[in-house]
Amino acid sequence: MADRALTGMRILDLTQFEAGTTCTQFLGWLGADVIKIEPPGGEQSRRNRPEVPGLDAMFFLVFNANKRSVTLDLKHPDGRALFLRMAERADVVVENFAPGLMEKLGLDYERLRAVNPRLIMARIKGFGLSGPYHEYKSFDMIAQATGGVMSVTGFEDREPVRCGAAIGDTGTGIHTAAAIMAAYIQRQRTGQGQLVEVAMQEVVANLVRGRFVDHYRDGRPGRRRGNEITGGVPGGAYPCAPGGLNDYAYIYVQTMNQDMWRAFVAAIGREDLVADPRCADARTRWEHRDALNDIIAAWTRTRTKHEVMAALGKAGVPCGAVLDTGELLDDPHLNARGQVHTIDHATRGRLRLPGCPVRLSASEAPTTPPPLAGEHTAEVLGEVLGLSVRDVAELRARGLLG
Amino acid sequence: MPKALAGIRVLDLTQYEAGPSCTQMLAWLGADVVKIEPPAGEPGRTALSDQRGEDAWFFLLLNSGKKGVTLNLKSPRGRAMFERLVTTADVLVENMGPGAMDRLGLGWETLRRLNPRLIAASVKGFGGGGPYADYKSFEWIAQAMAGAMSMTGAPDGPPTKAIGGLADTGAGLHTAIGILAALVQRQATGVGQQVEVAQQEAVVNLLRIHLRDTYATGKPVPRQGNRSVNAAPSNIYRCRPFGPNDYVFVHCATVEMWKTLTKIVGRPELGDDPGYADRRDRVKYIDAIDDMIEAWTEKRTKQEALEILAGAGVPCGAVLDSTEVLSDPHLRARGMIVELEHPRRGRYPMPANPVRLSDSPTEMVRAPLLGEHNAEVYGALGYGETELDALRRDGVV
Repeated sequence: MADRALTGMRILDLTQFEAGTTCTQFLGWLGADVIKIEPPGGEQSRRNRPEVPGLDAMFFLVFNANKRSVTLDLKHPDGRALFLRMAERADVVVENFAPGLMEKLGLDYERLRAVNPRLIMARIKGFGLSGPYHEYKSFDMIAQATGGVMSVTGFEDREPVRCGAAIGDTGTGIHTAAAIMAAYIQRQRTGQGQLVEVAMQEVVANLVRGRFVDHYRDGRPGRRRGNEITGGVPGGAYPCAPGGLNDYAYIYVQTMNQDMWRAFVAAIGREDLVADPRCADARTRWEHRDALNDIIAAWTRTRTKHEVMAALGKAGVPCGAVLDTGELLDDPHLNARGQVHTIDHATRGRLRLPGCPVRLSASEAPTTPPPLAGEHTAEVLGEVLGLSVRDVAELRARGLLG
Repeated sequence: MPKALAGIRVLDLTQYEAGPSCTQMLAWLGADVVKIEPPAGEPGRTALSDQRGEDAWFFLLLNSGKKGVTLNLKSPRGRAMFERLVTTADVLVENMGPGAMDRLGLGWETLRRLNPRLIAASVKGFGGGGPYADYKSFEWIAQAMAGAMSMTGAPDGPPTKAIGGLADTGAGLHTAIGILAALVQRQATGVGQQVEVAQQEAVVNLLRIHLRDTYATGKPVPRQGNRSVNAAPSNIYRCRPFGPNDYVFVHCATVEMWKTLTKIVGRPELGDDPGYADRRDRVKYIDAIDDMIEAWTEKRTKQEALEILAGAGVPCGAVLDSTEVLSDPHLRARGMIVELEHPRRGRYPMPANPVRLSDSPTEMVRAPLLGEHNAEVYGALGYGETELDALRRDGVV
């Protein structure tokens, strides 16, 4: 496939688990040649709670489409030498190892730059390469705690709550993907590579920056407010039929938009509320929010969340059914847009995976099956380093390739 | 100073958050971002302000590093000036309501005719081509429709929104990726293209990890509060002085982390017990483990607990509130929180660029005042002072 945005970009992918793998999967969708280099036996997340013993875990499969896999023992000096030869012929190296590991392997940026000054090296760390926390380990929820999102999520009378979506991990992966492409564009002018660094704590702070407003306004931390939007009626998650755990619809009528309010009351068959003095404007609606929210919930409770969304969506009122993960893969809109891709995996059979969330009109983004560990070792070593089948067999016999 | 995106000009028609977060990232990476606002200012600048007549903090957080011009796209002269700007640009970004660009007569075909090299990016709630295409969206709607709300909150509570800009800034960053990829492709092909990101899909991408449980069980992922069904300990624990955010998050993935933790809290025998070696096996004892850890954290502040646990290699994060994030010593030391000076708002701490490029340092420049760069940007198009005065009088700029 020649006509893709990143055709010709070769990435050596040393990533594991989520924060790094999401970055390289994204670049793979955009057309880069992503070569995942795994230790013999495969990257750890292949075995992260496998649903079927011995098969690659779904954890691995959702983050490693559109890559080729090579196994290589980087703990062996000859394995490292082989890696450096590949780095000479690559555009990008991405890693998200624990702090200090690449240095211990002797594969820090200075070493890589010495073999290939055009190389872009991207390093993902929990707290970055400098500063008082830089040696601390991190995970998605650690980044969420220290990036501020947890303090504002949840209900006021309860404890802080982790955000379900993996903004610390995948959020970091997408920031890193953006940085790598910017460095690649710069290299086309300068001819030089560079070091890219992204810290998970900082990514979360960037994603939540819009919620720092409370601090600026009154110098106090933002409060947890559950699902409510201060001043907004309706503004929140309203219960729907048949009353299951996720049978809710999120509805919001913009406070300054009285036309939207009129469209809303018409859609729920309560035009009488237009003349109701409690509904004169957003301020009076907020004063009477308990009574009005009861009226709204009485309407939503007799309908499913999909019926509520269809009725309000068509009326121009922002409304979203609270979909669970199962409903997501079946969602008619995502499927109509071709966002749910079906792949045939060598050992797990047919699988549905969410595809590339960015659409480029001139760069298709099909999803190819995540590779088995070492599936492309011989192919890649032949293509990149010109090694023969016999050379590869010899390396394998020496245990370098697992 | 060298910049990754030096020489790339971005016309920014964005508003609120999903679009501005995209163009702010491009500005940090060195692009020349010209924010084009209606003569009264975009709603994120005006309607969301805590003080009438002052630029909203919301706006200052999302529009640093940009030039600001005003232009009435609905007036014929404004429209003509916009078309001239399009011929000078590499990228156009917008996040107006569905169909708004077409109603302005600025659909893709028109833009492409004006400048075949243009990359035109749109951020939408649901994106075109499916049954929800015309539905309005904003942060919480997209979180609801992407599954994020269903998996956030206490097991005995309702679905809960996450207060990060997953759908807004999240979609903005996805759009930045699309634009950068299209710029790379243009160097090979010489022509631009359309980039589209739907908020619903960006959020699905941010939570795809949780689909694994659905694949395995066919059931929706349950709300688990702060706990995990796959690991213990993995939770928040109360700390002194017991304020609303006095907690630390502790997560032990490996047996080494667990051993270290048990030594610190004074229960080393549990670290050596093979029945506790695997994080999944420990879920059986989750209540006792949580009590054991909290008995230790309750004697300390979150900062003390963080230093001891994280310093010993146990993954731990203090639950920082927004004020603490802005003053966090680590973020300050790394330059992630910087002080900016605004002519009307004074000095304020600003979260900077979380992406660091060794050869493209980020310069943090405060958000522009309304129309601050009119003379500079329109001057470069050849408009003189008297002409601009006339345009101003007629409400075009």
